[in-house]
Amino acid sequence: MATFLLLNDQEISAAPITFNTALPVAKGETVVRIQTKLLRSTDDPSGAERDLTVWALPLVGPYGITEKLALFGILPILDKEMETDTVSGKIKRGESGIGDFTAMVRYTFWKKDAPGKTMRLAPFLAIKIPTGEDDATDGDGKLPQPLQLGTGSWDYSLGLVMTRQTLARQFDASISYTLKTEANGFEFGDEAHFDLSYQHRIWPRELTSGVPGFVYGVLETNLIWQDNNTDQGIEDADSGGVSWFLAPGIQYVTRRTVLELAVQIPVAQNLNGTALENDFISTLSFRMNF
Amino acid sequence: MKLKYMVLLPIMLLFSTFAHAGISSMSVTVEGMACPFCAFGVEKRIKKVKGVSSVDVDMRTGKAMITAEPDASIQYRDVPQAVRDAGFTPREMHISASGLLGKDENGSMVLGFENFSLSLKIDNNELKTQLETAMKSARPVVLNGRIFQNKAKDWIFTPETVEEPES
Repeated sequence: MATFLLLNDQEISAAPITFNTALPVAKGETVVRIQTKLLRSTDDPSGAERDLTVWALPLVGPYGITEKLALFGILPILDKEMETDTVSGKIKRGESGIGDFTAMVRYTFWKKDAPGKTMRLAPFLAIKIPTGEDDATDGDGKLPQPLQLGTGSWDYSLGLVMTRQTLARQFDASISYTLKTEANGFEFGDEAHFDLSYQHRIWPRELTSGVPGFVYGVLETNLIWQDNNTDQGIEDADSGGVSWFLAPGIQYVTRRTVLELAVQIPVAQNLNGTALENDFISTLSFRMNF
Repeated sequence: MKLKYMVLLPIMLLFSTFAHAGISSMSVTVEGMACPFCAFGVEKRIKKVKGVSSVDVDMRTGKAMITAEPDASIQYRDVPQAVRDAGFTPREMHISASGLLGKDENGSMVLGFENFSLSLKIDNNELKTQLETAMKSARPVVLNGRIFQNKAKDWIFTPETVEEPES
């Protein structure tokens, strides 16, 4: 589950740090977002002392097809490493390289604009294409499917995001479901996400003329459910479950750039069997308006 | 609201002695714009409108201030669509326009430029007298005021102040 928390969320554009927003991408314009994400999972109920570290650099490129319809492309560069205690000592397994590409469309079907504020609703649809290697091997044979860079499967997500933004604060809520499909005899469990984000402008306290840079204090929460994985048609009892994260963060937003940092800390993890629990997920992100 | 050729021709001749005719600056209120990153999208789209040299957004007032290129006129009709293309809602628009006053076929006052004219809606009697005087003397004027589309989609200019153009 840990790997999916890092890679399969839809952290695409604008305001929230750990998920999507309904704010617009101007027609014919593009934004580039580069993220550095670190996931650590060391709390292993199985006693095998598993220690998972995943670094991810998702490159995100939104493009405004019309003022309501935006297309997003997400390509992650990944480095996964799992350290495990065995009878012959600790072993490390993992892989680095390009992961699976995700294409997403988002359509703003309702908005209400007023001076200095807006409210929008936008459904989105995403398709994950298996571009990452999914049959990598090492000295111990084929890597377990969760350690592969790609899943080998085509996965489909559907969701809805709501954004309410004023000059002083912003609130976002998102709900989504991801349908996973089988590849190489393995099927990751479907996922459902429910995310909330509150951003409060903490600087400048009083708005000055022009377009000053804004500093937002951010608090986000992510509730994630994942179904059990299935391997060769057999359900893996030690996978899936429910996780709830709180993510404090900070954002510095100017006309052309956004620099932001958030750390997702697990508040509760009710995982199945001996599924590996998460310590934290940190996200450092930079966005540039071209 | 088109100017008769008989009115337009003398206006065009007079432009040979008139340094700059057209819309030199403009402001548009943008609703829904509430963060700096969004403001840049508005700036980018408006900058693509013909005749625009620079765009300065003020977050506090929600206005985009637009300046024309030297000796050019802002294509004001394209500004609302530029705001919509950025994903926001355009509202009140104000312009500063230099031109010559004349009358259309219905006898209504218009502000004429080199190749187009704007219908004027004048509510203020004092201003109306000033404009009548300026029209009779055939001297160019700079008018500042609100511009909008009526129900028939015609563009109407409601001047609020009048100035002498800079030579």
